[in-house]
Amino acid sequence: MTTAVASRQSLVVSGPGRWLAMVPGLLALFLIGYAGKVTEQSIAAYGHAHHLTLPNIEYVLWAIVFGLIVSNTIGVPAIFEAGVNTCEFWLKTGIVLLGVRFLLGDVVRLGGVSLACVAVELTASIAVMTLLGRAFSLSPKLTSLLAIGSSICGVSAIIAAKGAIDADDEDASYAIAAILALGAVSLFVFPLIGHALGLSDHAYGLWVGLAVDNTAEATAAGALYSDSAARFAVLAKTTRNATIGFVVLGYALYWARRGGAARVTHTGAFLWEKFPKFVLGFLVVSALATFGAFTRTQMADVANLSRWAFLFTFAGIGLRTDLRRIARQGWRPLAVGVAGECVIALLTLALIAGLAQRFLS
Amino acid sequence: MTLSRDWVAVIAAALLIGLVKLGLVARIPW
Repeated sequence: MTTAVASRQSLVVSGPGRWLAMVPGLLALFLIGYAGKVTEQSIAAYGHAHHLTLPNIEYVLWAIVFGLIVSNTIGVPAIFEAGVNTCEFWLKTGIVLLGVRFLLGDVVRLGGVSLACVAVELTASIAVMTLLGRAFSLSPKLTSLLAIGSSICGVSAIIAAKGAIDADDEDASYAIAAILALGAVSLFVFPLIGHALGLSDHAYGLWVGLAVDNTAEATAAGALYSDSAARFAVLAKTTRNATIGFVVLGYALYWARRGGAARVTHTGAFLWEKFPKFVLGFLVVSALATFGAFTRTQMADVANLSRWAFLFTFAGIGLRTDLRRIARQGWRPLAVGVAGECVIALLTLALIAGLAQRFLS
Repeated sequence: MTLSRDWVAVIAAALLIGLVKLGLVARIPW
């Protein structure tokens, strides 16, 4: 991510010192995430004690807001950097553990519906972003990066594609900033729209998984709606992530043909290299749960471990988002991103609305 | 050879599940 902490000089340490260097940041993630949880519980307890109907704001939002406040006021000191940068690790670990809450049949059924939606979303996203990039005179490679970022999985896809199409650091930085800024906005906007339209957990989760670009933000936007919506959001988003290799390969071949990138020699190896391996972990855990490898208590424990892993992730989202840095990136990539994401959000919402009566409960 | 971040996450999750299966980690609150 283009972030508060990423902009600072890295602390270069090795050996046991590398693990120790993570401790302050990990503590910060835990404290901010847990403060969000305590805030949610305290508000609910206050409302209960005083017979007030207060809005139930999930800890996710508090954790992100607390992190945003810290990173954009006092900033994140370099000593916390190594630990805070583990938030992607917690996200992936949380997704693997979340597999325990899906039966394999559900994964195949819901994943099948998700995959069909992803195919439509990918095509629409790439077409919309390409047209907008040309209309706003963005460089062709920046347009490609924005199209890849908005169609698959945000920052990871942009980083994967950057090497494959030989894009500039500056273009990648622009594209990442635009995707992150939109991800931050979507955290607040999507739950409001979902509630206003009265979407079911399933429909909302699928919509968020299709329309929100970064996996962490998609998971958070789902969790802001409900625990169940978060599960569906992760499933849809994971399905989308699984296509990363194919889309990046398509762009790599396109740019290689135009002489703007190195040739891809081994397609199979390229696809495997780009494939998000944690998706395999998710499927294995889901299969274990399906075939009775866990008792009910063990399943509850693994599911709760997944929730704790996500708590670290959500704290990291806020801490790693530097709004001033995003603002400095210029308005044109952001304008393309905003316009494109609005179109994609509407298209996917229409898709979900069409599916809702047939497939979604 | 270094493990990719994805594999590190998968191994960490596998270790946690192993601890739960062995009963060394139990009654995780939320």
